[in-house]
Amino acid sequence: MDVAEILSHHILDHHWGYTLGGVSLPITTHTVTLLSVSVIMLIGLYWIAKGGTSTLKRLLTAGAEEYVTFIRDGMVLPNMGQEGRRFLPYFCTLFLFILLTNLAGLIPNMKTATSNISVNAALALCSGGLIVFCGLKFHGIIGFLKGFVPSGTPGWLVPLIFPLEIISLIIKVCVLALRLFANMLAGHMVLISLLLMIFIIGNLSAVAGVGAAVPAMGLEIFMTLLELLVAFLQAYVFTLLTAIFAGSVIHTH
Amino acid sequence: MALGPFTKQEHLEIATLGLELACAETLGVLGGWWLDRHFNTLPWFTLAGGAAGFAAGMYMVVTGAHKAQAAAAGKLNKEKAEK
Repeated sequence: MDVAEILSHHILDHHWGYTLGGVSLPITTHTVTLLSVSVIMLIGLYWIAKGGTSTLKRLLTAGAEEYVTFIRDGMVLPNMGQEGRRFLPYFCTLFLFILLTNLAGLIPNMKTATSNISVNAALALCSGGLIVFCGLKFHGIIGFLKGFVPSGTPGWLVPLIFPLEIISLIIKVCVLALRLFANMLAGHMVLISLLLMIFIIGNLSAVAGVGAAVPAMGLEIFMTLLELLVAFLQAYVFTLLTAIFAGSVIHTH
Repeated sequence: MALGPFTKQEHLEIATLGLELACAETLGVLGGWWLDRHFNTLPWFTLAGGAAGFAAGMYMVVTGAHKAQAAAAGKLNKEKAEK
């Protein structure tokens, strides 16, 4: 049994090998997951937004309203103030998209697209773009650049502090992507490793393998529940940190 | 849940500092290594990138800690004044 191959097959992206007129189409397991989540979000949210009189529709509409209130009052307004109100749709979309992509990985035959650094880098680039846009919109180019120098900095230190502050912002955006990637990847590696433990021990002795199945499955259930928590937590952390960084750019001092 | 003198947001920012230091160091080394490969000067840019990354990371940790300390001190002073 090649453990490394099973691990990499479970975690890495797979190209489906479709070509159109000699051009390789970018259809991979992760892109299919991302597209599925996007389509489900588009159709589902449109269906909920249309409203209706049935109990289910009213329940879903109330849930959606609660969700928007949670993002607005829990993340956007405390960190960005009233200026953040116009960016509320972005934060609502970001949280739900990350959450559903994280949860998709727990469905059999689907993959966690957020365990791919490219997906997270694209999400972090969107958040980085929003942070820069907020700075430019509320302070202008000169004001935005001035915000990179903390008040009270001696003039001779400005050439050193200014690039350091710009690098800090870039690193903060990189860390957003890295945290989500590391958490989702590590969780799924632990899940598959626990399952593999049964077969590794079973290879040594069939009886020991059966004996190992009970604790391994117990741990597996525990880790799956933990992954469920991590899926919510990481979506929350990514969205909240974007709001904090955007808020710190809007309210510089 | 007791959050001490820090808010939820400040806790999150403090918890991020370690990862920011590691990320700055890694980016510095990788950037330097890329430059070394490009100009065939191994190991000079890698060493310089590592040092610059460490400096940037430490700057982020120190400013982050200073900001958190100032926020906590402000909150404690406000509580004292209220008493």
